Amino acid sequence: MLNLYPAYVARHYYLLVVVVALGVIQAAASVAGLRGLQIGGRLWRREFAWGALCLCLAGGAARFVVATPDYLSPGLAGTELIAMFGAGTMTALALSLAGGLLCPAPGRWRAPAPQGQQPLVGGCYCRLERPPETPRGLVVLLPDPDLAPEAVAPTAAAVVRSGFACGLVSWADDSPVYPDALAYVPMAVSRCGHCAGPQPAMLVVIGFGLAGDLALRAACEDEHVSLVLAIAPALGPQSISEGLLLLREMSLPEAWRWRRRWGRRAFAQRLRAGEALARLRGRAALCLSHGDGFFQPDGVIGEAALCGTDVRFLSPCSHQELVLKHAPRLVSEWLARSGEADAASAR
Amino acid sequence: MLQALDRQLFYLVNGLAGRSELVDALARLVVNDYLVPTAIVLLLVWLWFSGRDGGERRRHTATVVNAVAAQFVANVVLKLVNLTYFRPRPFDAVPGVNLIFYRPWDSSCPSNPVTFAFAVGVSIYLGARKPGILALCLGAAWGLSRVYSGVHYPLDVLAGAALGGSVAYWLSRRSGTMASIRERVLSALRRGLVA
Repeated sequence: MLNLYPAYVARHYYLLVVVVALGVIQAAASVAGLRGLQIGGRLWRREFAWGALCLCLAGGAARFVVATPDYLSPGLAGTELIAMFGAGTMTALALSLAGGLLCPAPGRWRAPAPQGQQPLVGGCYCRLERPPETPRGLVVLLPDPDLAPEAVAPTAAAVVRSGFACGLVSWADDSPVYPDALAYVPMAVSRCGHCAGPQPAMLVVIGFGLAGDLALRAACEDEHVSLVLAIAPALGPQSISEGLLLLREMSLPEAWRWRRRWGRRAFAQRLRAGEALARLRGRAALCLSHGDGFFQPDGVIGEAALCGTDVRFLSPCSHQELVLKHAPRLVSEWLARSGEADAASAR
Repeated sequence: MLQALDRQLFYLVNGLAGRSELVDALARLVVNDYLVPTAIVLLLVWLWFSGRDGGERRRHTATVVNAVAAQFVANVVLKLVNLTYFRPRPFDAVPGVNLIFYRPWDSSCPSNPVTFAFAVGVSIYLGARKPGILALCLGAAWGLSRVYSGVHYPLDVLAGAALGGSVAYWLSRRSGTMASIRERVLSALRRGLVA
């Protein structure tokens, strides 16, 4: 039984712990990029977070010392101190998680409108976007199954600007299923290749998130694919985050839902993208970030680099930032570079 | 011989107490049971939530579990030592002590707070250098303030540091056993989205 005597010391100590633990959690969340723990749901600037931490530490300690004249007398024993510390830290954590509820959720699953789209398999559709001039080739774009379908729109626009026809796959109102998903790329190529013009000169497959794994696997089984780009892929089931890292992308309730939405682990395991990467060698390119809250494929990267895969690490940014902000620029660069390489080899 | 040296050192440090109000106030801030231990445990809270990538996060959470285990084992060892050996506090044993803290009643050696601080501090140091150094500095300051305030001999502080530090080091070397326990704890916590 806890003996919280003197009660006012216990109360003041609890308040001290709430304030300082809140400061520490907020500063750590800012450094680690945990949006779901950051009050306001958006990452604080580092300087602001450190300033807030110093204020909490100094203010909390000063208030405790001033308001608790008995702090130098015999008071709470070890067990009581541990209990008060635990309660205070849990309160600070609850406040942080409640503050993180404002974090914008990654796109919810929505069925795409089928107008102007070619049906593939399993209720999947493919839409072709063409540049005004004769396309330099065809790019099959596989959107991230964990983000809203619109997340891929800026990349599709960048592909078309680069002079390529873009076959944009839209998932059905369900998650990709193995082995049906393996048919998406060949069918998209068959439907869009016909529409893009006679025999596209260059065939590129680009996949985001777990669709990056699908892109790698599909490309390794099709020799006509000249280049495959996987942006923020998982590369295996062991890379799928399940702990606090998910709070980099969303709030706690969203993270619970995200984990239960569909069988990512089984999907990634069956795709065996790590093995596909070894077979693809120079035809594959990866773009990753250590700040990715969905996938942490650190273990496979060394092997991939040894196989001659072009691996690019971006400065820490979240999965959503990588797909939404950085992917269009990177895809344009890659397509331009591959075009130059093609021209050089033709000369 | 050792005890004589210990007493000499004690008088040297404790003799400074009461000469400056400012230093005494600073010592009171450090010596109490609330602020320094809270700061040390907050370093564990920091480690639990920090980490820029998956590897660093795993290392940090493992460090926290190690520190908690080390603190627990060190505390058990300390209680066992206290059952077999009792050393009176300086204010009960020697004359002319400047006491600026309350009179603890338990054994003076090894120092309980310093054992805790070094068990946690060394565990942190073995997993993350900078926070570990900070924790060890806090522990050292806490120990020094206990001597300054007249509640411990220097040897008590050294014994506490040796006990806490060696338990933490020993547990970190028990990589096989510790790793399997730690992984079980951490995977359960990860499933609950708290690690």
